[in-house]
Amino acid sequence: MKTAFPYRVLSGDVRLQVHQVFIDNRAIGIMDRINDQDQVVALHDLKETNERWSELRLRVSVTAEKDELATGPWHDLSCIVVVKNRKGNVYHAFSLSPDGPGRWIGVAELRREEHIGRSRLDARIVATVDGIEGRLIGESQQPWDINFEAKRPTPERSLRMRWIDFTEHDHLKEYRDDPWLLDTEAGEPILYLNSAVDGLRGVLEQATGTEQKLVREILSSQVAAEAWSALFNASVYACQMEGTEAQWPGGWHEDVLRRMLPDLYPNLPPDQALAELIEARREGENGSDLQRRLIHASGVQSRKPRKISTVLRDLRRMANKKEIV
Amino acid sequence: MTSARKPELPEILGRISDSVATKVLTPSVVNDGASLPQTLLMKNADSPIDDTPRWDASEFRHLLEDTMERFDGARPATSDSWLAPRLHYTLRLTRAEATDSGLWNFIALCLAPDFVRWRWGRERGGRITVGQAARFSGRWDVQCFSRLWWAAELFRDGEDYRPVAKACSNQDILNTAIRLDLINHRPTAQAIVELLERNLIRTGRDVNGLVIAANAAAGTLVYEAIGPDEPRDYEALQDWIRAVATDPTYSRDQLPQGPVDGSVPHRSVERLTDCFRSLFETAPVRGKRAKDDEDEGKAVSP
Repeated sequence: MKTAFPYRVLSGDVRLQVHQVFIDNRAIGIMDRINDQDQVVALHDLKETNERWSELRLRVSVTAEKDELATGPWHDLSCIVVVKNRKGNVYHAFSLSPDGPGRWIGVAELRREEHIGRSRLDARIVATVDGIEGRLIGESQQPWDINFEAKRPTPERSLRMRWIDFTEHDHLKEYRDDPWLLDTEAGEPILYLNSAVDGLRGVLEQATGTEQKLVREILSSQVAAEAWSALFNASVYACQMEGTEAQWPGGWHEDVLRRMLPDLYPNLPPDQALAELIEARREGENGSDLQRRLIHASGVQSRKPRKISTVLRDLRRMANKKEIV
Repeated sequence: MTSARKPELPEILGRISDSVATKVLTPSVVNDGASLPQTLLMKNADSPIDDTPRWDASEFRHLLEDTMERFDGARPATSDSWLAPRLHYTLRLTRAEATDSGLWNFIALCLAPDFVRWRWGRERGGRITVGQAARFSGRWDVQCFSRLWWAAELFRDGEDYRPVAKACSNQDILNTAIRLDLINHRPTAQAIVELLERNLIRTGRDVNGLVIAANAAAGTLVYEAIGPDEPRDYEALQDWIRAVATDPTYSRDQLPQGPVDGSVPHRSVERLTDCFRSLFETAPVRGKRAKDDEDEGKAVSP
């Protein structure tokens, strides 16, 4: 939802930065944990190295253009960071202290009891405007992603994967010959790879020869494209209309839709694309238009076109070499 | 010797994965009241998160039987406001633990499928049908038990469960408002209960009108700045969780005491209550007559 502000707001950038991370009062190495560019903090192996951690503190700063701040119609400027965790329904605000014109510093705390999966960090600048207090006048453009599941601070949000032997699980027995399946576990999607399929693990994880690598590329893009389609379909079912308004489903369903809808409906803004999608599901005569769009979008997400063209090129080269030899 | 075959109830709470839950929730279970394959379920159950006494199933089972007895003949929905605080008190979890749908699946499928049918079932052609698999295994705000636990967690004021009982007496709070980000800010949740308490909002339409207006205004008004919250005391929360084996069991007539992890600042609730009252006065509520201009106070325009 785009908000129209009935008062003046900051036009310059508001920048939120995470400078340091403390786990139970111990500073941890930031080089491999914090990614400034993509605004990600990766905290996966806390599970291994400090399994009993209880408190995480992030030292942050917020900057805005000081000249603009000084000339606006606002009073009682303050700055807060808001920490949200969608799964834990967490919503905490931490107020920062001024640190010179256009700059605030402070600390946000995240507790083990509440934070799970990924949490987000936003900065908001608040002021009294035209006699009304608590007005939002500026916000950080992109939230920081505090990711408890990521090993490296990259924005790539990969699907969780697990190798299991389908024949050993009651609920998977009837799929014993399928090489992979998308399922959910604790409400989150997970890709099961079937270790009972002879040679699958070898190709996907330890491909050595050129041929094996080519097969791996084709296979992995196939797995990815299918997984994206399945994620998308599950997300479509999670959508509802409330009155005439299409409702974003929240959780990973929403993440998937927000990521894929621009590829399905490139000409529509997200809210309209969602309405279009729900409409298409309900009214669509045979769904073929939707399916076509979906095949395209999951292809984009899995980078299938590029992978296939690379593999075909390499095959051509190999063939040519053999002729020369 | 023959005895009426009653499926054996589990002694401790475990976890059932969503995929196992989906598999057993066949249309005949959901729509026709067929029984669940308990042996298969128990074979596929995972053990609880740790081995503390809080996973003892008997107390929880007792509470549910008590509820069914107490509200026998009444509309089952009226039990929510009695049960939610007692459920939260009996099953002591952190929020992170409560996000595990496996636990909720286990409770609904292995411990108390009869309760799910009692609460959500409708009689149809001599059979009890629930109609929605999600009441057994589904999103946190829909599943039979997790919605009550979360309602209690989001609306309690520290150890005080009174606001929970009030909030859960309005189904629209449970169905609509609970999902909004807004509610996750404790002073905002308390302000909404305060409006219910003062009878300024009553009906489901009122609730929906208010949350739509409050949500829209949140685009420009920063509630967490207008009504700041205090940090919670997590040590106290942990103490309370550990005390599960020594604390008295729930009382039928008195509200239990939740974790003493800090109450919501009174002044913040007051300020937000004022703010929401003004918003609500100008909010479009279906079926509500337009307010006269004269009693329109100083409205905070969104």
